[in-house]
Amino acid sequence: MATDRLIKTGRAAPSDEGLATYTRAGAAFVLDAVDARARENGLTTGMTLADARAIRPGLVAIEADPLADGALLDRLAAFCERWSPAIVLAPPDGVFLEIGATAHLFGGESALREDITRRIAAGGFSARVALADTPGAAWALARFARGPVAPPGETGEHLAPLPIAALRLSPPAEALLNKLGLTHIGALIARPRAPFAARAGEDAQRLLDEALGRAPPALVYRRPPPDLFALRRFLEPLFHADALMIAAADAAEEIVAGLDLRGVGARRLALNLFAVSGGRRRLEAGFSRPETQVKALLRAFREQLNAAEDDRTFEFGVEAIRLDVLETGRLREDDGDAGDARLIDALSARLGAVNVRRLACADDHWPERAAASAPALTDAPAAHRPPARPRPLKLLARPEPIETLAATPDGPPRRFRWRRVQHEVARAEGPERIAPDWWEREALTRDYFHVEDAAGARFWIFREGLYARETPTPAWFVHGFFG
Amino acid sequence: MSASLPSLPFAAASAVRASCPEAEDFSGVFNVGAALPRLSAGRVHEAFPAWGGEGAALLFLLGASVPAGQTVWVREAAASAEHGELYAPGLSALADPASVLLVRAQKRVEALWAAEEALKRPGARVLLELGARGKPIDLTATRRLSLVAEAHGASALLLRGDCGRPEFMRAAPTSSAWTRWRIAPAPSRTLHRDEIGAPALTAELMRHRGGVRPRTLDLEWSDDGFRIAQSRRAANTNANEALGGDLAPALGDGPADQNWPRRAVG
Repeated sequence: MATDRLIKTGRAAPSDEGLATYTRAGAAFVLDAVDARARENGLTTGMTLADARAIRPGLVAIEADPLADGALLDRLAAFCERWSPAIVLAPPDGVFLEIGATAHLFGGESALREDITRRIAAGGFSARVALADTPGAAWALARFARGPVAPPGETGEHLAPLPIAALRLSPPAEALLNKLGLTHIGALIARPRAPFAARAGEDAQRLLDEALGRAPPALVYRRPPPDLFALRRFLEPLFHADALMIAAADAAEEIVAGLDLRGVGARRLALNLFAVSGGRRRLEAGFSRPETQVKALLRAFREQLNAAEDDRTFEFGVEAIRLDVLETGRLREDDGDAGDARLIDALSARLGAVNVRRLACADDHWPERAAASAPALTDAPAAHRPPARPRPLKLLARPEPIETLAATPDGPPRRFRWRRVQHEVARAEGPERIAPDWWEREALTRDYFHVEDAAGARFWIFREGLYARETPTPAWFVHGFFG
Repeated sequence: MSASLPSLPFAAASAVRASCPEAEDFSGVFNVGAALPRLSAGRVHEAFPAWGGEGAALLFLLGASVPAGQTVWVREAAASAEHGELYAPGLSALADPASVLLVRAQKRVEALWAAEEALKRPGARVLLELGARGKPIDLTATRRLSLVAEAHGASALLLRGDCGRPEFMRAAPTSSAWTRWRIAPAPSRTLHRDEIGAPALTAELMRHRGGVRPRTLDLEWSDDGFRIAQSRRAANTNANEALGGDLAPALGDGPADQNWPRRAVG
């Protein structure tokens, strides 16, 4: 994959002798990735650069860039979303797809494998694709066999002839097993477990079990797989939002049936659009209470689809859509006012869930932390009692410095200049001393004053730092405005 | 005398009353008996803040409008950037923060759309806070809001920060709002320099589509709503004009009259 990236980005041209990337390992440079030509020429990963150059003087070797490779792998994984919503990255150059629930939509496992290979090759990458019961077995088959499809239940037979390197063992364990003459996985399958684990290590035993499906694999998904999803592929690409809405309605029917079976409603949905060009768009929508109606589920996407219609990504049409249920909620009778919920959903869908919020007073005396707010689609923030002292209606995100003329060192200013305008202080209440918590070393004590200027405008201003104790020159700030 | 008091300011306007379809709303600008502003439901009301009067204008719009179970508060991003974020501890003096749904809109079209959606809830109260960036909203925008508000009996309260200061406005922007106010902060009444009294403001009714004459009110906020501020100026000029002219001698100056209008006259 790394060498494909070099060719695609124009950093290297394919060469007869081969192309490789190298990385520093201790005092030597070793090959990190080799392309097909280099492999034919007898070069393998792990070989030192000096050895490789000795064998093939014409080898093009470029220093590896793990960050770029990682980013590319992630993009590749995102591209693979069109085949399955459950994706696991297997760095440095592998991706697992869980295709149990989607293979039939692509005409079976063999057809799916063809499709994946073809689409990835079209993108300029060489890929080997294998299908098996477990991720470990698929990994092994993709690298050490000619990329077959191991039918369900026959994973063991397919794995048996492969070298033990296919198990992704640690180098010491692999060396040990080779020394013992256990060079093929088949030789390990029948071994008694306890002595094998004692010799080769718990890890080796676990990897073997995972590959054979004896133990559930530990997988970290790129994105949590949806609770429910419905995939729709089109024979001809779709171009119009209206057509996509019809397809989405069809998918939503399936989703609703699934939700009904479980007795839950959808709280969060994602509509994935897969473009013929390879691009992808993900539209999200949330509901303030669990939804079970097709119409309600789709309402949130209408606006977004119209906007997506003009996107350059979809110039050549959309070839598939997938509706994912990201979060479900139990249905309840007393789920608040339906009208309110609908309004919150509509506003959140168009403006973004973070922009539709509920407010509450928080349990903190520090002004910046005394207010809590949460998206209205989530649970409301816990409400606490407001402070007994007057607080401004609006608070500046960041206190703004003001120039002041103070009458007495401890008192409120006589006048101050804020945003280039002079304010005469006509009345002032305070100070209200607010001290930072003891663990906040940086923050200084603030003396807040509630002041009214000659015109009657009211400000919440403070002096930061106790004179002489905390700072030689306390600074003044305006922090909020009263109604 | 106190019984006939409320009808006085509207005597001049009563001739048009019969032809006005919303007769009940006609007297609805002011609470009967108190000559206090009341922003009726089913209408658009707009307030232009004078310099430093954003807070006062919000206080006026919230305090004088018909309370609702939920207030949808739509804020333009430009307004937040200039005047800060809505602060729940301070808001709780005016309304329960839990009853406020805060909507932040990046663009003006989004803000107008959000307000319109929110107005479709019967009896809703929607506050739309417009920032200083961009062109003022036009007649079409206010017309749309008026129609939706009327159809659903919802109150639309517009804080017009989009037109610049009313002091510098060349011509008042056209709009279909039922009432238009100019709100300026006013010094609070206290005896000492080191205490701050109840929030005070000057509300100037610039236009009323129902035909109520323009007038200026000096108001003071207390826990149970607005009351007429008893400043010397108010007693001598505004109240005199607003209340029909024959009341001024009855209204004294100074703090002794704080309880007005609940006190007995005479």
